[in-house]
Amino acid sequence: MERAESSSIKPPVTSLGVLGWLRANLFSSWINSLLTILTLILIYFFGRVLVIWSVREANWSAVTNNLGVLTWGRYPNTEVWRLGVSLILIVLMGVLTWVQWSRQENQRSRPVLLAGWLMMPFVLTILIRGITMPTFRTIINNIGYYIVHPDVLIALDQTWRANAALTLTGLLAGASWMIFQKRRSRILTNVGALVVLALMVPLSTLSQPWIFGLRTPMAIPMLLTFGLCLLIGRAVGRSFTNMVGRAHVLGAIWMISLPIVVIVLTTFEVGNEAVDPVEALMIVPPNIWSGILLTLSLSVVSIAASFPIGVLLALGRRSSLPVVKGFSILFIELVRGVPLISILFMAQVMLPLFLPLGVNIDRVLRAMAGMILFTAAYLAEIVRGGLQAVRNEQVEAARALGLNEFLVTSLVVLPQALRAVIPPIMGQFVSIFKDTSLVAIVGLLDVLAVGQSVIKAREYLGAVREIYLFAGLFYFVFSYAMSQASRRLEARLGVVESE
Amino acid sequence: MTLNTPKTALLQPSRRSFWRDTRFLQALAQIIFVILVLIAGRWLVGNLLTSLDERGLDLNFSFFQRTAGFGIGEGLPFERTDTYWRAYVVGFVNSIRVIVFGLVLATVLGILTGIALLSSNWLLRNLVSAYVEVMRNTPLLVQLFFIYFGIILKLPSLQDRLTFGPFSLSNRGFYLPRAVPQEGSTLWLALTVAALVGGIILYRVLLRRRILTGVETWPGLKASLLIFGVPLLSWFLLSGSPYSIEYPELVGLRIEGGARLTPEFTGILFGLVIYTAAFIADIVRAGILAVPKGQLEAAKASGMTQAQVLRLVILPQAMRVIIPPLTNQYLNLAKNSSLAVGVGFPDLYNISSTIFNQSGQAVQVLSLMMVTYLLMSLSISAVMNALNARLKILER
Repeated sequence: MERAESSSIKPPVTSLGVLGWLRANLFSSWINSLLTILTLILIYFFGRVLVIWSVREANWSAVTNNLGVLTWGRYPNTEVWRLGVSLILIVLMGVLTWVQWSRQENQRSRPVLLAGWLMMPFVLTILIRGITMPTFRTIINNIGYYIVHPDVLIALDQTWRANAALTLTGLLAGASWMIFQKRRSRILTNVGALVVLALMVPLSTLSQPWIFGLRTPMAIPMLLTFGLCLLIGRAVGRSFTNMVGRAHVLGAIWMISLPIVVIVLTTFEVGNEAVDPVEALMIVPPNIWSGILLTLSLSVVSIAASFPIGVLLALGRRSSLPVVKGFSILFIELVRGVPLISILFMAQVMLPLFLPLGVNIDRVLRAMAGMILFTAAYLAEIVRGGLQAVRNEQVEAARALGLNEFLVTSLVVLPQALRAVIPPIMGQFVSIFKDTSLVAIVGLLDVLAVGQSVIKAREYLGAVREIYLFAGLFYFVFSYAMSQASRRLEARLGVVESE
Repeated sequence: MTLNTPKTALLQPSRRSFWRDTRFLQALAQIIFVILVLIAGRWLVGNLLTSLDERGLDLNFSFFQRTAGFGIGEGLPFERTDTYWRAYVVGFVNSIRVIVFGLVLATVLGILTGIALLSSNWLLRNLVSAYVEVMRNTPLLVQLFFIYFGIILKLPSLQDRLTFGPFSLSNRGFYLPRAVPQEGSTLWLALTVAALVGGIILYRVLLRRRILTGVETWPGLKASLLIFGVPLLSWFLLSGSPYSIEYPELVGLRIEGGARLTPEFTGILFGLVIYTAAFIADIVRAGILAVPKGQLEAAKASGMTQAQVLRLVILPQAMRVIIPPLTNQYLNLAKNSSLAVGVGFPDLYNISSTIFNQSGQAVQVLSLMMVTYLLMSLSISAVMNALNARLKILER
């Protein structure tokens, strides 16, 4: 087509440079120009208020003078170095993992890192909470005391020690019977189990009310516990007969567990005569954890501890057993239908009622229990999504290879399901991290509550905005970093198709 | 855990002993599970009964008839001498008030914000996405504390209140004019409702005729004439106007007339709305983006106007993606309304915990409160599921 009057056409508007960018992004039509001007007015108005306030009126010393209090609250000042060491440990592990991740070919360090992460909860608990170690003298003393006066455990209401020792021994003995191929190792493990059983003989002759109030010799429940654990251990051991290197792992566990059994059995306190526990690291009980320390430990504990429960609930919800399925659905839907604050309130107020008289749980641990139950229900739904994403052929192929149900689930279904739900789990972590702020309402001293008590001090009276802005900034930095990390992870895993 | 265990038993029915039969094993596993749950339950209940005995409490709900002895700041009329049960009802109604207003306002703000997130205007888009990020990455409780203690309670006093025409804002709350019904308001209201219903029916009838015959019947125009015309006409034709506007006015040290939103209500409502709206915005944005671009281009190519494209093509398809996550946000809003306790608003949770503090009856109060919240959640999801089902039927 030809245009006769080409001279009447205006030259095209520039699309280059600052002007072009402005035109395209801010003033492309009259409505856009209007929006731009309105937004500018809004920004000017609020920005001016904010700048004037933060420069002229704000009393930032309320935050800067109290950074320590806000971070670790009532944690003893002489022990704060332990928090520093924990932080360094976490960062170190994080960096190592990141390095390992970015170098795909280097797979050797993987088991080491995994073991490191698995050890972290124990290491951090010991570091932050502190630990008392019985001295060698105490152990010998207590073993002697226990053998001569076995009823001391009953009198002190500490019979759980015997059961804990039996459970551990039973599980290990059962598993090693199935896993160890060599006769020598089998005999060795059984000697270990026999030593523990022999230790139990004095206690087992006494009688004690058992479930349903029946008075029975302790031997019956103890044997039941041991037998049940032996069976479970055998089942688990049989499932793992094909795994490489299991004998080393099991051997290591045996080596560590025998001293643990002895310690578990003998760290009871009898009056003053047999006790001389040495505080290797000063005990800082959880109920004085506060500030950012409390916020972080609550969120890490609740996500880590709720993970196995959540996975079990998700599997339960998809189970073919109607009773298990119904129970899981009931639990999940009940918890998801009520506000977190009511669960926290229940954990503070009702949990003590449901425990035997005289058993008192630290209120921080009670809050953790509430958070764990709450998170488990939400995680269960996320994991269920992942389970649904695993295609049925995978299950069928695994069965065709002769794997039993436990192995099909743990080696084929779960790894794929969990991999698919890493991003939503990260999202859940962010949300749990934010939700920990609710413990301030039930009287725990998290960063928000510590901030509130700072405001009540006379010299900072009225520094409300400063303190809450600081708390908000703290939450924002962590949550934003986590959401960004989760987005990267998502892209890396390639789970989600791009928009 | 078993995942659809195949009935391998069918292959060798004769040789399989019963303890290797999956059906038997499944039944056994369930029986063991039930026994374990029962043992745990018996242990817990036993402990509960002993602890209640120790504290001199029981599991009886009759204490709800006792005198409460505390005052409630707002909501239904309540006296110190009223019963705990009455207090509970007041708290419930207050919660419902927050939730209903919150749902409506959060939806409106969320949709607007979600559209703004997709705006071609760089400044607006980035401002709005900054707002969304800040809201999503900080806890609601911190926001509520900031809004209530940091802003509302720091507003000027009644004497120096900020006024915007008939509205005024101070640390005593938000004052706004109120419509006071006069003589004849019932008749006017009835006429208005009738016109509204008639208008909707007329719109449907005319629209149907246009679709069937292809003749332009102006359904929108005629229906809105009816809906707006009748109330307007009757407002002037009836003797005296049916409503008079009452403005809040400063009398001495307090404000009289008009409607007042307490600082607590304003705080919780504002906090909930701006928090939830940020989440809804993201959902709306994702929903609109989920509509394939071809749909938009096809609609434009067939000559629809911008408004028609949005109303007839984009929204119906986007809604299907939006509704399920939106339901989640509505449920979150209802559950988050319990954070009203942080700003001292007497909602269900707040009143329940006061009742517990006064009476010590933890089990009854907590279980009643949880059941109430559960019912609220269930009703919200029932409504939203019905809506979802309706939209699905319209699919084809």
